[in-house]
This record gives sequence, C-alpha cells and structure tokens, in this order.
Amino acid sequence: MDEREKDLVERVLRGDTDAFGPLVEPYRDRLLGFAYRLTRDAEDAKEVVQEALLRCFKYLSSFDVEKSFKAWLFQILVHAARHHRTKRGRQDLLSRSGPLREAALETGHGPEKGHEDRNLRARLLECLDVLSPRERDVFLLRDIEELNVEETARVLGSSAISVRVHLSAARRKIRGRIQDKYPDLLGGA
Amino acid sequence: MTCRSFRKSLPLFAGGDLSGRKAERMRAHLAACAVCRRDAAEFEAALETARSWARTDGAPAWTEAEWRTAVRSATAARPLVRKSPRYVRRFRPVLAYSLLAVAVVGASVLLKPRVRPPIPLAEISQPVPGPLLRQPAGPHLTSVRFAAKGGRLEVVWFFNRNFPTDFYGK
Repeated sequence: MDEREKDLVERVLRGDTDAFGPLVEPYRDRLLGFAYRLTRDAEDAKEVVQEALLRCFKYLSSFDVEKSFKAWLFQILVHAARHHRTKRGRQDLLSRSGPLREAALETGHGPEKGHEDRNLRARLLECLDVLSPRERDVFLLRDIEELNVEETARVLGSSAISVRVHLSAARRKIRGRIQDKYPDLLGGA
Repeated sequence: MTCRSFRKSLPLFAGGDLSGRKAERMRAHLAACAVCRRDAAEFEAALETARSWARTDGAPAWTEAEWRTAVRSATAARPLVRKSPRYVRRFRPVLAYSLLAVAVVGASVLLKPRVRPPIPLAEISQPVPGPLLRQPAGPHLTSVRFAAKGGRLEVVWFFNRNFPTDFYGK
C-alpha cells in the first residue's frame, strides 16, 4: 500500500469523508469491470460495486494499512457479489456457466462500435464459460485484475497452492479455447 | 527433468508465477527445447489476448454523476464502525461472562458486613482475685481483673459494697 493510500485512509478514519472519493477513484473502472464479469449485467454490476463501496467505507477502520488496499477492496467486492446473488435468488454469479445472456451483449456505444464490442465481449465471456467457478475467480483476479497469487488467495479465502493449481488449469483451458476458436490469434506465437 | 514435467509448469511460467529457481530451470530448458518454447509462447499469447479482450470488452463505465452519487451515498449512508480485533470479537462473550463473574464476586466481598468475631473465651484469662491490685483493699472493696493472653490488654472491674446507691441521684 503506497503512502498516498495510507494518508487517505487515515484522513477518512479521522472523519474526513471527502478523502474517500480519491481513495477509491483509481479502482473505479476496474471494480465495475470485475463486477460486470462476475454478474454479466451492467446494472447488477453497478449495484454490486455500490454495495462494495458502502462496506468499504463502513469497515475501513478494520483494514490493515500494511496490506494491499486493492486486494481488500476486491475481497469486499467478491463478497458483495455473492451477497447480491443470494439476495436475488439467482444461480451463483461466480459459478454461472452456459450460454451468454442477451443482457451481456447490450452496449451503450454506436452501432458499429457496439458490434465490435459485442464480439470482443462475447469472446472473453465465452472463454470464461469453459472455466469452473473457482478457476474463473482465480483467472479474473490474477490475470485480468493482476493481483498476485498471495493476494488472490486472500481475496478468495484459499491457499496460495490452491490458487496456483486452479490458475494453471484455467490458463490451459483458456489457451485451448482460444486455440480452438481463434487459432489465428495464437498463430504468430 | 523431462519435457513432460516442464510442460506441467508452463502455464505458471507464462504468467510469471514460477519461483526464481524453477523459473531459471525453465528458461534453461526452453533455450534448448523448441517444442516447449513454442508451447510457452502460445500460453503467453493466450494470456495477452485475454487481457486485451478484458481491456476492450465494453464493460460498463460510470458516468461522473453515477460515480459521485455512489461515493457520496457510501460515505453518507453509514457511519464508520471501529471494529475490535477478530480475536477480541471471537472471545467477547467469554470475556463478558468472566468480567461479570469477577464483578459479582468482588461486589459480594466488598459489600459483606465487617463484624469482628468475638474474642474466644479461651483467650480471656480467668478472673484474678483482688489482692493483685494496687488499690487500697478493704472488706468493702473487691476487684476482678481480665487480661488477654500474650497481650497487654487488661480490664479491671472494682466492686464497692459501700457505694452509695443514690450517687448519680445527687
């Protein structure tokens, strides 16, 4: 955790609520992107991030400033996503598999950009669909959000060895999927 | 080590998750093995492809107003709660009951009336006849002396047969 974050955390804990915005601002898009890949719904993702921000503010005093704020924030986000899923009575958002939902393909951009985005998004989500729930969590946190193995383990409440095992399996599956569906993308390798 | 054993570690190596010595061995093997080198390159390309999709996958974005509202409601809706350490929270009921028990025992000790026990009769000497006293003796006077064993306390009673019965009535 860098000095700037430590300072902001201290300010919030002293009652300066204006410091909370700058504290979470660097993770603004990453939180939403991660929540979106878990929920696959833009509105659900925003609700989940909102809940995560609420919990982050509420429990900030229990945060250990010697540890990674980013990992802690993502841990809250994962829990908020699970809670959201329970509240909605849906299937496990973290273990959802099967065909892509139409909602996931909606976009706010223009028609051409939208078509391009839809393809890209479909590709990524399609790849995630071949992973088991745990593999998907590990892959998203380690390879997309770029947390290290230990931080990923802490976020998911598992061991580093377990994370390595699932990460290895996830990368094999992702590579296999891309090789099958988009061999040209790996052709240059 | 064989190619097969190296290939097991290729996914972790491709993502930079192999520890120093293992990574060194892997690099040495890849320098000598074209097949494993190609595999490693494919893993790296697959990871980079997935990351590039994630960067451009059209995930929703906050508008400024939405983000400001989200942050504002987070800071306004709930107050900060300074939580105790986890071990304190876990043993909080035990601590509470222990403190309660200590308080009850302490209160019962403190509030107990302090009544000095009577001096055992065995520790009081038997009355000593009057001649031991340095008071003028006479047939009308007699005395009884009490002395604590091992102590300096002495109580002496005088009896005067000629004491006027109306002495206090004067």
